[in-house]
Amino acid sequence: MGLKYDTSKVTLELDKEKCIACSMCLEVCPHAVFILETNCVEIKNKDRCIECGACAKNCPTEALTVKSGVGCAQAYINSFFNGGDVSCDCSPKDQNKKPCC
Amino acid sequence: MGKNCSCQDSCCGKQDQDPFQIDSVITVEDFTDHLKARLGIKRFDLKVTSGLYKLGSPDDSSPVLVTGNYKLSFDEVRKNLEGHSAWLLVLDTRGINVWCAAGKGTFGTYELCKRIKETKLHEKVSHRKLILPQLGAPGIKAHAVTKDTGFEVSYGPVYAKDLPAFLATGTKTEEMRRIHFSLWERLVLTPIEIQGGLKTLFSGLIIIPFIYFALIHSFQGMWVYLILWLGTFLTGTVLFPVMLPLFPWKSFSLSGIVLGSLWINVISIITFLSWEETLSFSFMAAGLCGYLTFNFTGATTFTCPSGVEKEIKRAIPALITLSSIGLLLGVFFLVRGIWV
Repeated sequence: MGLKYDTSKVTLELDKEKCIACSMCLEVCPHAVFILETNCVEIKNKDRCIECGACAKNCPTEALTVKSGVGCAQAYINSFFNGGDVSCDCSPKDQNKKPCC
Repeated sequence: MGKNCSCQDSCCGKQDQDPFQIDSVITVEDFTDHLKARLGIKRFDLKVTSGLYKLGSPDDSSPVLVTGNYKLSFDEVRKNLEGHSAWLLVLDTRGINVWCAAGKGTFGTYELCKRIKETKLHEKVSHRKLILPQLGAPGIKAHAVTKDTGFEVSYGPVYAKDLPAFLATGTKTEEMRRIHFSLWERLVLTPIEIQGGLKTLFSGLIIIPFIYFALIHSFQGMWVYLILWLGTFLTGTVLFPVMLPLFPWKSFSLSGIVLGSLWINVISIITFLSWEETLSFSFMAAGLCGYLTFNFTGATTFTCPSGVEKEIKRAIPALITLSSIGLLLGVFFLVRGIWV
């Protein structure tokens, strides 16, 4: 029940050795996955992670890693049938169809 | 309000003129644009010119807020800043909202740094602080922006409605960091879901047997088949998003399979459907509905790519099997009906 999805394969990893407890990940995570412990952060709610990549991108010491992407079936179906990268229609591809510049 | 982007404009190039002046008023014209965005009418034309904007009368100490050039995003920001004076730096996200654009990197470090330099932001403000939407974070390396431009990135709230409180206190509450997916937030997405579903080849193919069955039956009863198909379609695109938090399992396609076949069985009780029709339609509707609901993963705020990748491996074979069984049963009953 509730707004939950299958997160058993979530790729989020934290290297505690590298963490400097700057809290940047807490700042950018929209699902409150992290909590701040004394000397480093902790992945508290991995089951809420959507792999958006915000934390890893903004981690100044690269302590966080995640294989980020869009959680969108259409993107995977597109790539399955057309080949190429996993990407939904809301990409700059539209730019080619209707060039703006 | 806000300049609409066209090819003649300098929308993607350099901003030569002074910052555009804007206010917080949402006009009837703006509102029409918002409706168009929600209904998917010329959705990719709803762009504003990227560059630097003056909201109210900002001076060199006024805050700088960054957003994307999708009309809905841009208007949401200025609307919520009524009574404030601020600089608005609009990035070229190709008319896509901030979160999706950040995922694609168009709301990104490179674009942000480029815009800062192009608009000569250093000369406009004396401070060196930028307020970015929190959902822009997947595209921005905050420390790299500081290194390149000297501007420090501060991530504001998820929702623009929290901007006044954030500007007043300078801090984000725990609540301001969280993304939701309320009933209303789900409902406003359904017109696009309906459109998207209609466009898919799959639903185009699955409608054929429905029409065929309708034709070989009497024309008198044709409307029942129409309701049957439309109902299956709306179950997947509208009823499912509404019911989303109520399912006891996490698989989107499974929910669609159950809803689709349930719908046919409910309708068969109140109409003249034979058991043969009910059986074959149940399978077909399960396949179609499961496909539609699986597609809703792209619209949610809580699905992860690894989960979708996992679900797709089971969902696609299951959906193809179900639809095929439905079709084969239909053909079988049809042939038997004619020749027996």
